Amino acid sequence: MLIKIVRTFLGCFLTGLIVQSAWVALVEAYGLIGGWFAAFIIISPMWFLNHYLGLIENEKDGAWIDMAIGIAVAGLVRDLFKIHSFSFAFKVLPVLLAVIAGGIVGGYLAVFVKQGMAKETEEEKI
Amino acid sequence: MKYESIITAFVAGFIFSFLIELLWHEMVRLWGPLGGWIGAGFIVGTVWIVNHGLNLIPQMGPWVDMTWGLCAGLFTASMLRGGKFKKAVPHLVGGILGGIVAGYILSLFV
Repeated sequence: MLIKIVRTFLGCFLTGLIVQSAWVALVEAYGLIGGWFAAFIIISPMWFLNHYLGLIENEKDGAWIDMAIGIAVAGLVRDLFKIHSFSFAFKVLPVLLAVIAGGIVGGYLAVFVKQGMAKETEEEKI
Repeated sequence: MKYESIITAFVAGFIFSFLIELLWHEMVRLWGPLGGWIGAGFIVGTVWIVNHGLNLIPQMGPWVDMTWGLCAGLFTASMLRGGKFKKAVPHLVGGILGGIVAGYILSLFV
């Protein structure tokens, strides 16, 4: 139990730290293409470490916690630590809730679309 | 102003989690670990250009990352496929703690 928490902690800590610092620097230096390149060089090794090699080892019958939670929380907490103001902190809520709602709807629909696609390929084989 | 930003933020979260949920697993199945490299560039990078590069998620206060939508979406999808919430709790705790510590350290130097 504890080792699970520590491993996920390490994975999300590293991912959040690297993404929220190096990404911004690359964007400032090279603009849009810098951001695209940042995704390519940062997300891929971090994903390889966290989900392919399994530093964050999600159980097969458990709900999925992605390494992205580290990135999301780190970006928010960084600004909260920088600027100590409640009115500033509350401004985040409408946009944050909208993004989360959009994500839930997207994931929900994707599952059904995927099931439909799997059915079609099965029918083609027959 | 306010309701436009809510619509665009909703769409941003939708695009990202929908694409990752549909494509990532298939890319890794077809091309092995290199599929993850391709996905990182051509899904995450390309969606980043729209969501943050072109400000589909309006930043009014503290930084709202598009990965909030991704986390929520992948979590919902895995629950729909029968994942148990209880087994994810240690990962959830570890992930949030990791994010908070990373955020504190980031506030010191970025």
